[in-house]
Amino acid sequence: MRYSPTDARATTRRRRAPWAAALLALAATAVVHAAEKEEAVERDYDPAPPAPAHQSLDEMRRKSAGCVSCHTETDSHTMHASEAVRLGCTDCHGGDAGVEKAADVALDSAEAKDLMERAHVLPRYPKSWHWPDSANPKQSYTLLNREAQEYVRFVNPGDFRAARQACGACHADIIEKSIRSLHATGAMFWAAAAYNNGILPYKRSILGEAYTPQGTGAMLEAPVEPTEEMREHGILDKIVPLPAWETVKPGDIFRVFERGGRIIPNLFPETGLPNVLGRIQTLEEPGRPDIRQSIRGPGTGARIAVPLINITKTRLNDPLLWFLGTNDQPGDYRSSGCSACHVVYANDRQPTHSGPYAEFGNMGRTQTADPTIDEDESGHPIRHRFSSAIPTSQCMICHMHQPNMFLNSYLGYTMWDYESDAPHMWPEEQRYPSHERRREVLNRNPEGAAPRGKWADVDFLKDVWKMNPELDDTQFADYHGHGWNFRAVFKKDRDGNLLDADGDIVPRDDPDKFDKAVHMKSIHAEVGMHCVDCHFEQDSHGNGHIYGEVAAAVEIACKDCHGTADAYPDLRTSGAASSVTGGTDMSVLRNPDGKLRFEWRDGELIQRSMVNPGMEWTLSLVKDSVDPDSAHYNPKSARAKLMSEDTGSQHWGPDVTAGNRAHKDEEMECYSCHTSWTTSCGGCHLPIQANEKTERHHYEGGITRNYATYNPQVARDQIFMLGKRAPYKGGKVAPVRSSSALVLSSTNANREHIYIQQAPIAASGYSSQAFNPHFPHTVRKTETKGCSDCHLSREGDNNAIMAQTLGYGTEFIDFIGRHLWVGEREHVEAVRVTEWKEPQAVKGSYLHRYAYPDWFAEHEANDRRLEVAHGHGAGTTGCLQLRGEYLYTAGGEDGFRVFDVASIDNKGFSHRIITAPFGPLGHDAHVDTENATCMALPTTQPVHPPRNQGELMRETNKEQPFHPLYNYAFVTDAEEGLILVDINTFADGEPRNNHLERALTWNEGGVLDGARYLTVGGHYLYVIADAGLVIVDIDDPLEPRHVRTVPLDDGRAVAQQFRYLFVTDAEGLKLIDITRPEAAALVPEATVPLADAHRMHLARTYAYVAAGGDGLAIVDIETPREMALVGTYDADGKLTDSHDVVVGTTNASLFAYVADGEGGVDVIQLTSPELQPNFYGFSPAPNARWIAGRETRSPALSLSHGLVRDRAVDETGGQVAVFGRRGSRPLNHQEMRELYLDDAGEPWYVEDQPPADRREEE
Amino acid sequence: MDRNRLLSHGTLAAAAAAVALLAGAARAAGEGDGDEAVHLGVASCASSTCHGRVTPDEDSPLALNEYFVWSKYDHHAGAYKTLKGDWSRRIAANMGLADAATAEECLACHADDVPEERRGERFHLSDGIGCEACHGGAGDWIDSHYGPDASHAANLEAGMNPTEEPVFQARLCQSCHVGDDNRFVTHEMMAAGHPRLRFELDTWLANMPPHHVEDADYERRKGTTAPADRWATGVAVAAGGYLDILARHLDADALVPELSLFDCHACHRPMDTDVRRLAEDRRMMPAGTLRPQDQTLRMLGVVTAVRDEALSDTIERGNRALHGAAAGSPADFRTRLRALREPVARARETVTSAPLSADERAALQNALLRTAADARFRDYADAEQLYLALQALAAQDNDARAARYDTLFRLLESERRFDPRRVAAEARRLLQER
Repeated sequence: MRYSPTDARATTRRRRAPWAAALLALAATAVVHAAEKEEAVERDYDPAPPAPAHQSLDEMRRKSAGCVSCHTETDSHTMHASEAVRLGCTDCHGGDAGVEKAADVALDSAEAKDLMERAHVLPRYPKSWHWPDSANPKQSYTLLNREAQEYVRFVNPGDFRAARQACGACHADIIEKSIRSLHATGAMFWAAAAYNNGILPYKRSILGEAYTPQGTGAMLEAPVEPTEEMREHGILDKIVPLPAWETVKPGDIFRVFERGGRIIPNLFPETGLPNVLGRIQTLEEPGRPDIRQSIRGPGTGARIAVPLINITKTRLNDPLLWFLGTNDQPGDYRSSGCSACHVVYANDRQPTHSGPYAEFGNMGRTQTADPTIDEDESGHPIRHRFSSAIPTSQCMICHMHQPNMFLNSYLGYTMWDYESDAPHMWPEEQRYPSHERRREVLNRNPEGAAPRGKWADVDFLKDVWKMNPELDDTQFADYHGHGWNFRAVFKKDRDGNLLDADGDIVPRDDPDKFDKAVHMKSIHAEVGMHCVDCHFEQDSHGNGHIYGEVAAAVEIACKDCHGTADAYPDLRTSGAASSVTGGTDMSVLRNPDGKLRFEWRDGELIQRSMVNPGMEWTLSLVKDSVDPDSAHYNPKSARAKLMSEDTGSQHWGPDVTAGNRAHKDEEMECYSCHTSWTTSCGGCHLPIQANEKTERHHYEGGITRNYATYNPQVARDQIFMLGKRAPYKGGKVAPVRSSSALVLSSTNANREHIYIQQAPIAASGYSSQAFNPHFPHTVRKTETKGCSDCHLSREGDNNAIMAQTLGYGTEFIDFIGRHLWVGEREHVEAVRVTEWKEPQAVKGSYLHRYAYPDWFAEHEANDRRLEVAHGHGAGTTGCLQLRGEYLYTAGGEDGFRVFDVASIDNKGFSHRIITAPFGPLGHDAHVDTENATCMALPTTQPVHPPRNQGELMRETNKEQPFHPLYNYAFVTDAEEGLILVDINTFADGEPRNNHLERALTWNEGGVLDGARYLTVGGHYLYVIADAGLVIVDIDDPLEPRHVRTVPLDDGRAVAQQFRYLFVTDAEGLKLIDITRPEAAALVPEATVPLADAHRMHLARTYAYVAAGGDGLAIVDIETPREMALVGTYDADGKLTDSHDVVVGTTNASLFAYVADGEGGVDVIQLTSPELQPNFYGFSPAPNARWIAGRETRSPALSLSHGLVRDRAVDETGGQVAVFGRRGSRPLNHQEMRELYLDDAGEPWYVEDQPPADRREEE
Repeated sequence: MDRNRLLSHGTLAAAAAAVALLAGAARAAGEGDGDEAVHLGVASCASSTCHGRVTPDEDSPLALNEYFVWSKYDHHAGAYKTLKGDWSRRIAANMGLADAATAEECLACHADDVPEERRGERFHLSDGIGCEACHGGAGDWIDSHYGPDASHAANLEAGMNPTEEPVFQARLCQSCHVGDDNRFVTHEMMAAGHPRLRFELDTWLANMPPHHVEDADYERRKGTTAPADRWATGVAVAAGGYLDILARHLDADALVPELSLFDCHACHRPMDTDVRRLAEDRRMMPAGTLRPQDQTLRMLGVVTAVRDEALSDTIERGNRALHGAAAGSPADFRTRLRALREPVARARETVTSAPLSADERAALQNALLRTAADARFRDYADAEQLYLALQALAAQDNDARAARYDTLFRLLESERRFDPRRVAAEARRLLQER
């Protein structure tokens, strides 16, 4: 082999190479960050032939002869466990085995080093590889694409660029499958990011990652052209690369992307435009917006789409198999390609996660016998040996992203929220990281908060797990891929009390509370199962078809191992991707130790561990659990599985035939009940910053402007929702999770926030607050879902639970964001309530104190006054609602007006709230009415119904149509009644049509005289008018129908939670049962007297009522018919005139925001680790503390609701938010009703504990 | 006995029926399995890149789904597991054994019970009669037995067993299914509950089922054997083997000889049975004499007659003399036994020297039926072998009329109600039908 021995002179660190120690410092400084440009060394490589399928012993030995003169020992010469394999070193790695070191030449001699250079294949980028050190380089990403394939093969023959040559003689089909599998293509991420955020309209992904051996992006075509049936099963025709993410159109059509107007000269290079200054764009027609920030918009310049930046630059799930792990933190050590899984690295010290590898630590260090490998250096595999005993910790390296992946939940963890045990995790002194430090940390950990936290330091991070015995709020996991921390989820009651296995409360002050409380890892993990114990060869390698959705590509299903109530398992896979000819026969599978994986033994089915030799467990067999004659009989299981459809008798037992059962196998996923908890990410904030030049992690790499940190906002563990699976999963009922909902911000080159905290709109026009049905991987035997999680409890105490289950949202994790939007007597105003930096803590909050101790102190010194607010004159604003970049207001005599608030946080604008971005002739977002008292939008999530039509949406993407009511804003006018205004113009990206007009004015028979407040619940409007509570059916929005009026005594406000309306009037808080809206009636006994009740916010089991002079009244509404005042809170007299209240969650804590009339606005922390140790409950009892406030320009009357992040569907089945998985959807109205109403429309009730064993009675 | 599977034999064998060759006899005859290699375990063969495919590989000379076929369909895969079952527990308890799954005498046939030092890392007794139990330990050849340079001859040279060779097959299979020096189902085991052994080489191999396909390529590499020839070899080897065991067990210093070598029904019947001895029996021995399990000797006599009537007579006379001696002294019995060994060995040579011709097979079928018609197959085991022999012949000739033996089969349904006279009557009917 010829080569240029130019600068390939960096040194190595070897255990037995003393000269290396002296040069260590030099090596450290010589490291070239992958992002920096290193000149390629010119080399000529001799082609190395493919490894043969077989050869003679002599040939094999010859190919290792020279190698073993230095690598005198190794763990397995061929890497393979099989004695049948004959491979020499150079068969796989290439290089020259003819170069041999004489025994008397010392390993650390110059001569040995010279021999090594002749024997090894040499890199084109020696500095980037820190050659000749063999540890995987940190954050190497696209280095593999730039490097010569000969060297890639040398360092990792299992890399997909080399595997066909190194492994193909025997494993060709597996390689081809693997390259087409989702593990390699990541097509699901590209698809979800692009579709859910409106960038590409294809629910069948067209994007995915693949490379040629030379490292250029490759298109993958289906090996067999998919038939229509295959397409229905989620099989794709092809996927194409996306080499430069800039080439996509911006999906998120914010104001800043609108064409026209005054141009601020662009500081970015424009691609595809002849004139770099973009002057061609100055040819504007009159009447276009005179405010915009750059030459941006579809078809102009170097466009970005923030969600795709996440994929290309902000490491979330990546790198996938085409690249090495980042090898820089515990949980990030791994190789690429085949070796990414089959070569085990030390990443995690918990045996549940790492099995027998736990003892090797979490720092990626080796146990190899090879004397040339430094055992104290990170980035080496544990051994030079392939294994299919792959521990969960190896999978976790990639499967660690909270909303997308389920290894966390499987192991009983979820993403840490910066609040629990904050004193241990944040430095006492506030950190002000330099840009360099920030970059260094963010390259490892994309969380914007990380550079300020202690976990920015790997030395701290690697032992976070060891702090567990000292912690009060939670327990951490030992894996930290991406630098993240993961907190344990424990069994809790709704109040948040820890529970033990018997369901008894574990006191918070019990020093062993975390040992006594049940750690909610999957029962599968608990018995010792690793991922590979359920996801076998096909699930890992794929079946050769190209898929775009994970659920479609999985072959295993519950019943394959557990059977059904009627049949024992047949040990054949039956999942979506199982073979149509009968699935994989699991009864013949063998483990690495040679034993059968499954075996029937004395009527029991046992499974042997893939990872832990000698470990086995007995599988629960459903048929036995429902058989009274079986030792494994479980009455609760039998009752659930054999329950009849007759909701009246609720008869159950073996006489109920499969077709008459309530919970049919073909209609429900097993894990609709067998789920102990679901992870629910309330969304992430992606603030893109133009001034950060960062490396692309995919395709051609390179450095460009723009970087978005990744900031999970709310990750809860008590949200449980139901929806419908995609057709290829049988359209079954399954748990639904929120998945990767984004809010986006953008800071331009002048550090102006050109848009902030904007939720994009999906390609289907639905909100991008994405959801999808899934398998939560949190199966437990005892902690399952019970009857009252999905049906009405006889006690009547699960109204909030039902609202959550059905997907309406519970207004508990609402996102208030940086500003509190206030409607005033003469103004509208945005009051800044959080920090901008990450974490975006609410000023004066618990998190604020720990993340920003200096700024918290300043806030206190300033008497906790909120310092910044922006306002605009307005009519008496009875109601207002922020959605997207617009503020919708009902301004009394000023009528209905939409303010442009796109620039609310832009320091380049003096007037942050405006009525029009240019002259009123071109933009008139106002509807004149007599006395607009209130307005409401059907959802606070940005939506755009017109996008959801046509064959592409209806047929190809299998989207259900929008309900037409989503086109409108609904305005109450004291004199005119109800006014509908079509507001779609604000989401169409076209500034020239922003003229509003009435679509309808309706006040049939004066029923809405004196209308003053309303709320929208599906296709019903609930209006407070002189006559009382007026129910109007808007199923046909332009033909409203008066349904019923319930008289009130001076009604003030109304709010809905599932079957009940909560109304305030002169007598206080009252309850109206609207189970059947046409029969709506007051529940007189459920009245909470309040002297001056105004508006309210229902957050799960508590109602927060703005109670005038009493301040904030807190009412327990867990059992609505027995609702009771918990207490009132006036913040030591600060609250004197409370008119409105909204509640939202920031990180782990709950906050109330109060519009206090003359008193201005107030921020009240309701829970925190300090105020309420049970803060992780479904609805922990609030313990109010005033933390901030500000006077307003004129008396504060109303507040804008936050972004309702957990609302997937409305109360009559109208879909609001995008659902991932083609053809999946929320439950429709009929399906919802079947969960609690009988054929006559009457409610029926369940009891979680059967009153008696009815079967025995009979 | 699974009749359906027996009957399906016809089509299976027909596919492979070609010129019958008794190949590879050189290695097979005699010298025990000679396996000294390390047994690496079933898993070492079972990889999906090797013999563990689910569906046959169209592009390979081998189907490469051998492991799958064995694992799914071959009862040998469950041999060890049988020892864990309730029935085995009862047998062990009856015998005073702690655990059938650890008892040497059970493991001998229910597992690949090689000594500890010859078990590889992935070897597990629990795999029962695994790949290496028949093919030999793979330790010496696993890395050389595949690839472009591999050949069957080289594999045999390296220590792989010639499992395609009928005499080897017969010895191998019968080492358990009949018994040999190392493995034997004693009367004690049977008394404790072990089921009676029954075996016929060709039928049992066909029903195993085979995990290979005897196509042209296979024949080129390993040759093929026709059903009737495999049957004949099996009979011949079994007859010789029987004499060997009988001889060894007679040497034992015991109050009663090893009773499992004698016909079960000679003693096992209700005390109030209305005994009707056959003339054949009366000719040979007095009532109450232990009756040797001579079914393979009888079969051998019939098949030998096709080629060498004198030799056949010698064997039949010898057999009769052996029976007669069973009523006499042990020394006399031993003498008669020794006298039989030479003609039986010679008969094996005669029978296996060349494939049975069509004429010979026709003659054989006739002789079998005639012997039966003469009521000279006088016990259940004889009748069983008769049926199996007729089936093997029918299979080879792809005789669609194999179903005419259905009645004969039904007569075998119950050992308790078995009546040799009805077998004779049925044989006469079959002869007339021809």
